[in-house]
Amino acid sequence: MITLTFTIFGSIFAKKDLVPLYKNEEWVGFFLYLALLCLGLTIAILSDFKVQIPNPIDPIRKLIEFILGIEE
Amino acid sequence: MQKEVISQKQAIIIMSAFIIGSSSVVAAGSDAKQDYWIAWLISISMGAIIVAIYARISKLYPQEEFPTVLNTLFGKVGGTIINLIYTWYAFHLFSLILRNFSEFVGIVSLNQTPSFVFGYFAAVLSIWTIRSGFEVIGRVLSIFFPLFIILVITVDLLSIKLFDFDNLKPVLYDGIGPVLKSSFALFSFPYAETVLFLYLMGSIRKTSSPYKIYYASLLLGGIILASISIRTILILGVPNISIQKFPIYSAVRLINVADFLQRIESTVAISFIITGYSKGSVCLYVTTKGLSSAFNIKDYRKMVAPIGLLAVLYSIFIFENASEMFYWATEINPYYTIPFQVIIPIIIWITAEIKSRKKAACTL
Repeated sequence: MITLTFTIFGSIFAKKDLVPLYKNEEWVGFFLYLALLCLGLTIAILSDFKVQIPNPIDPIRKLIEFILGIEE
Repeated sequence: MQKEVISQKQAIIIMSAFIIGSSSVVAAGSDAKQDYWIAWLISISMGAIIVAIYARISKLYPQEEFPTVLNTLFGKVGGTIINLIYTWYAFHLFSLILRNFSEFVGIVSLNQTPSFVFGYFAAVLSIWTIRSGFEVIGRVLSIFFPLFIILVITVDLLSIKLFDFDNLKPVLYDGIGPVLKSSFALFSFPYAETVLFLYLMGSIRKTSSPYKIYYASLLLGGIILASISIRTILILGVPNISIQKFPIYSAVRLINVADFLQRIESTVAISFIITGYSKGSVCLYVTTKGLSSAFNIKDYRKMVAPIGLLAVLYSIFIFENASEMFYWATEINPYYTIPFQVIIPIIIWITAEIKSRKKAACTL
């Protein structure tokens, strides 16, 4: 479901934004947009398959808990 | 691309709505319990000091985009690094807001609907707003913010009969410690989050004063937030608040005027939609602007859609459940945000002051 919703919204926005970026030869924007969409699609598929995705804030949370001596 | 300009009045409204934001349902400062009003006074004072620094940075470089200011102060590499740090902060905050919104709707009403659905629609609304240009937020809030204030005042007046002033006693029963902890939490969420408005200050009219914008918003947003939270304590009392996930929503549910006007808790949801949308849109704007500046992309609006959709996905796996979300908001977030809200702005301010004095000395 997550992947399907992402694909629908992603396709709508990609048609509006990605095509003009390609036509205007704005390659940095084009490839960055494509990279972000691919990253999003990957995360969406992994979420649908209930794969545990590493959370970037987990190390920060553990560090703050360690410094302050908080036990969750 | 035409430069986007917002007026001083619109900037104050946007910032006030930003300050109220998700705090209108996810209340920080719960450690102070019945002494919340003391914690609020302390946090507003702390907020007044830090926004003076934010306003001074804006004053030293008026009408300039913040990423450009960072490049001027720290060079291309240093400026880009700090820019990307704030981009991450804004992105993370946007994801938190989406998660707050999803949890709120999922818990209070639509509990069978998958939570990501609310996140997607909230994000699409913000994406659509930013793609249309930032002035749209100002224009939308110029209409809805006064309605929001009328709503808050009306609910406050209707709930007067339910107030029990004994719920504010005893004063400082647990000492000053919990009050100071709460005031620190309140300072970081939401007052010091206005650091993100450094990205917007390049878009305000030439005649506007950053000091007026920051202080007026701090006062207006702070008073409304305090009235909502104190109203909740007066109605529910501390023991009832501690067992509720969204006590502000539960408090309004008790309002009953002549068996006619009742179950008006949807006003809380409407308030959250207005202020949460504003806060989310600002965060998405800052993320997009920051990323576009880092990669030298001319039109930042082209990047807003994938960033917004990514934020929805991140909001899904950022926390396992609502308890983890509240734990992050109350225990971890105040300390996590110190570099973004205090340390880096102070470094920027000191560097900006030194450079501007050197420049003034050279011109003499």
